[in-house]
Amino acid sequence: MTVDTLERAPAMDIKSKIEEICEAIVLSEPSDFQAISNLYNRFDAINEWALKSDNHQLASVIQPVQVILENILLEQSENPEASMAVVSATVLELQSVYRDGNQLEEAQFPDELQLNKATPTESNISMNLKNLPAHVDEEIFTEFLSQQDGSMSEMETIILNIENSNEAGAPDELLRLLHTLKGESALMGLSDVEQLCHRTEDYLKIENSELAVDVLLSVKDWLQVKFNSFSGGEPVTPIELVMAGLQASGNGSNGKSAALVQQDDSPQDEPSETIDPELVVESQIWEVDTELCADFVAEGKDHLEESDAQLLKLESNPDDPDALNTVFRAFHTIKGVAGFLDLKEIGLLAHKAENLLDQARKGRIALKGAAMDITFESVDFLKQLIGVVADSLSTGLAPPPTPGLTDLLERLTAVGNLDDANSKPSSKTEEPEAETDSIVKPDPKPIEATETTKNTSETSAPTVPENVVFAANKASTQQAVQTQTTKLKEILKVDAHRLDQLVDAIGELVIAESMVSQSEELMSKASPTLVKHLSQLDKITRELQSMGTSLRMVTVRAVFQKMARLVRDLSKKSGKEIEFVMVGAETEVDKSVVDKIGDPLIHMIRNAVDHGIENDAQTREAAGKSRKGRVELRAFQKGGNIYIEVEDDGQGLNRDAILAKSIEKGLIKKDQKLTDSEIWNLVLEPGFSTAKKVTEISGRGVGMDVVKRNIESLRGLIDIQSTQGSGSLFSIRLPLTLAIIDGMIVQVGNSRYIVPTLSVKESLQPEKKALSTVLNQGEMLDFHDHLIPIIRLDQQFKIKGAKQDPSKALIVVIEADGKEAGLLVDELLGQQQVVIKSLGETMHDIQGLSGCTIMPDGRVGLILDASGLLKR
Amino acid sequence: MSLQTNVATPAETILNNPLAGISKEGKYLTFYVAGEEYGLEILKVREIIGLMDITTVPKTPDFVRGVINLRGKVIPVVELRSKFNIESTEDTNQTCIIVVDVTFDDSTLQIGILVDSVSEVLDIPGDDIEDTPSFGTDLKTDFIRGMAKAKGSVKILLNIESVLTAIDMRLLNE
Repeated sequence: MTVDTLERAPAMDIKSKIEEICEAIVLSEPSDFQAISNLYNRFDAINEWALKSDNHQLASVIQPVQVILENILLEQSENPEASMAVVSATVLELQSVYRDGNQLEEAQFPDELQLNKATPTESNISMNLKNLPAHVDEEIFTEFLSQQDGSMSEMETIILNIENSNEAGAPDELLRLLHTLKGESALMGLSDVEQLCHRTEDYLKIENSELAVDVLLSVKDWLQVKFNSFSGGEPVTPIELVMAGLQASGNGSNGKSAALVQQDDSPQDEPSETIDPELVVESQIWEVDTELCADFVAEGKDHLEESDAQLLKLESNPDDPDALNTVFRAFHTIKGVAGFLDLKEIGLLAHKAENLLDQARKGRIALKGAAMDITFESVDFLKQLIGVVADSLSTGLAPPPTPGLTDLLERLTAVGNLDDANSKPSSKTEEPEAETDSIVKPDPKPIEATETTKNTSETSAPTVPENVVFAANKASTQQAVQTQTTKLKEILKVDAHRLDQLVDAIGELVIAESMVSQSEELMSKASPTLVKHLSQLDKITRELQSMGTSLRMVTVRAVFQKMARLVRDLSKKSGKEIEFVMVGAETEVDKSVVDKIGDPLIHMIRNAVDHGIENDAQTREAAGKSRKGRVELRAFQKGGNIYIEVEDDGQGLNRDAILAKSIEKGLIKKDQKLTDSEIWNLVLEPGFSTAKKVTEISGRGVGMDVVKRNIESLRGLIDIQSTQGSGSLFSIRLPLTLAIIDGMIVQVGNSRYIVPTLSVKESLQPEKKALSTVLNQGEMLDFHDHLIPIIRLDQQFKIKGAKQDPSKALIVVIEADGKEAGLLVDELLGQQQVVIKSLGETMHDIQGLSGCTIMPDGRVGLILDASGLLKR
Repeated sequence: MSLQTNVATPAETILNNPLAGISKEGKYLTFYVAGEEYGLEILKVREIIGLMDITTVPKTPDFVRGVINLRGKVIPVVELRSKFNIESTEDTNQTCIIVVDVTFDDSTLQIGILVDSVSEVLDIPGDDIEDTPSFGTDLKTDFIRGMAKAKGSVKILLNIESVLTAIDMRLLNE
């Protein structure tokens, strides 16, 4: 009748809780979703309480019950009625413990719970993790998701390469990626992702002859959609579709693959089975991505720091499953990335340490004494190894061989095996990741069988061959590191919002600085020292400004990569052979440009492939071109602008067809004379995009108004060049940054406006004879031998006091969308870089204005929008 | 106390005035426009600034005087006189801008309102606030929150959201 002091205090509470559950359980039908989830929550509360008060025994009873309830909820339980019976039997026992004061140890819990007194709670906890993403730490999960973006595009690149390389078999990188993802998703509780990765791995191993790239891409797409769905993307399509694709593609080897799947579903096989090939298969020499490597160094250090902290926690509180999982995760991640980067030393050590931790996680060994020491040692050694990689990255020299690794590895294995052997008798416990229905229907024998096989394989297999491989790999590691000369970069992930705030603040500073340094009062009294200080301030401000803008810069690689995939899909679909060339994928542009440029590029590339490139190779050969069509995507910086170009060597735009359609559509008059660029710009008109007939003849125009609109929203310009028969070039010109533009300040009456220099062609004082009127109203200017309309800003904007006689005023010739016009202004006040601000939600979309800025005198200046002015 | 006034609130006012069901008593900033005294809930008022250069924005309704630079933020300024169809006068040294927070579609905007002069901050008990009397069809009263009698004079309590949401309506129609 003795109850722990720990238990006594909250015992009253737990008693009533259990009574409540008792009542609830009587009322619960297995089919009643709400009642079950209600029950689940009650158990969850008890579980939490148990963990808090260190009552692991109670927790170990509660957790399996939760799993059972979960299965009922998820409709995965084979016999919900029976499961419910198990639950209520458990509750009755608990009642006897807490109401009648029986000992928890003596309670007769149902066998179905698979309780084993010797099992610590870790196994159960990881069981929870597996099935319930909600239990995963949100931060870790977000981190996991954010990493997937990169690995998805990486995966895509690899898959696409498979097709080009013609080599049989799956590349190791892909296997590694999948394997890492599998491991991580298992930790995150994404069992479907884990399963898919697993099947795909199987598929890759079986299907050695020719890999169905489409199937792999469908897998990758599904994964991407799945990950996006967590951050509010579209819902995922059923996984079965993708699985079916895999199965179908695995054709004859169906049976084999199924067998493999079954075998692998018992988790113990996973580490040994899938790692071994990774180590044994000698990867072909490939260049280590120095950037990735640098990222890895930075991340790895963080992971190890964290592991240190968690290990210390573990030492004082060995039952902290979170800490253990964190350390495990850290090693696992390091292993995955190191494997990917071919850093064999690190990978091997991390793998060994991970194995040890896995044993601890499963409760087979206790992480204390020698095991703890060696874990710490491993962390230190990993730090050292990563340090060596970091040094080699910055010096470009081969890393010196690290002494002591083999020794440490051997000891790690020894500790793992020793403890493993010792605890073997007690280790026939329920495996955390074993199939859930085995909870209801216990069948311990097969599990035991797999375990013994596994144990033998683990003790005998790794020690000898791994050391051999290790020696061989060392050479290749050195080789790989030798080719790297890039400096090590420290990467810090920062919230985008904070970055924007910083950039905004810098913008303010720039304005404030110019307000001070251009202040006339100050300048009239300024001493030479003050002037010197002010110019120093000016210099620093400019530096800060350029730094601020560079903060948001990212490469266009990711977007370009998507286009590579698009071209591939399109060429498959249309049956045209196409060579896709990317130039300047490393060009940096503002993040928001990258976000917005994707859609226009898709349209442009699609047009180039669908309509630009000739339909059959014969036509191309007849025209003296190579059979393969060529589409080139370029990005480069020139002057203050970024250029993104799509060029194809296809048939070019059909001038006559465009003209004919435009006249039919009423976009131009019949006898209107147009320059080439004006004609090409017609395809960007909204009316054009819907005209199916023209797109078939001329080959252009689908969605091009989207292109135009997106580019305009980025304040860019689009220019089209085309030669019939030899291809066309779509060139997008974008400002380097979105926050700051070069502007020309003009005075009109009592107002000042800013004309973006990007749209200014020329400014001039017109001669009388260059001016003419139409019907005494429309005014024209003879500008380089063609007539352009004159826009009177004072009339459009109702400004008072502007100069009325054009010959006394100035004309600023602006251009946009292939159109030109002269803007009548009183005076040019100068040129200035201005920080663009929005006019606010109440006043956006004023035609002719694109925003505003704060002028050096503190007033608000309005920025004119050339294309808006030219629309009328 | 104030519940009594609310019971009588016509359904129309509830629609126009989201705060109709809530007690109207509280602190109000009072100011003058064309000789009449108005009140604004103090919680909506961010700050009061003196008159500064206002940049006229073309193609906006007449009551939008323009935009100002409030420490790097560009905010619109609404002239209450022309909003209330009262003839504009020359700005004086008493003229000032009250910067208010307006909640609009879940986002809070700052808007400046140009008034003839600012008076004081008053604590107005709910008993002293009456519903807007109806004046017939000509006079729109949907942006009036209520009438307060305090210190021997009548103050028109404004529902600033209704005053300023109209800007958007007008702008969109243009």
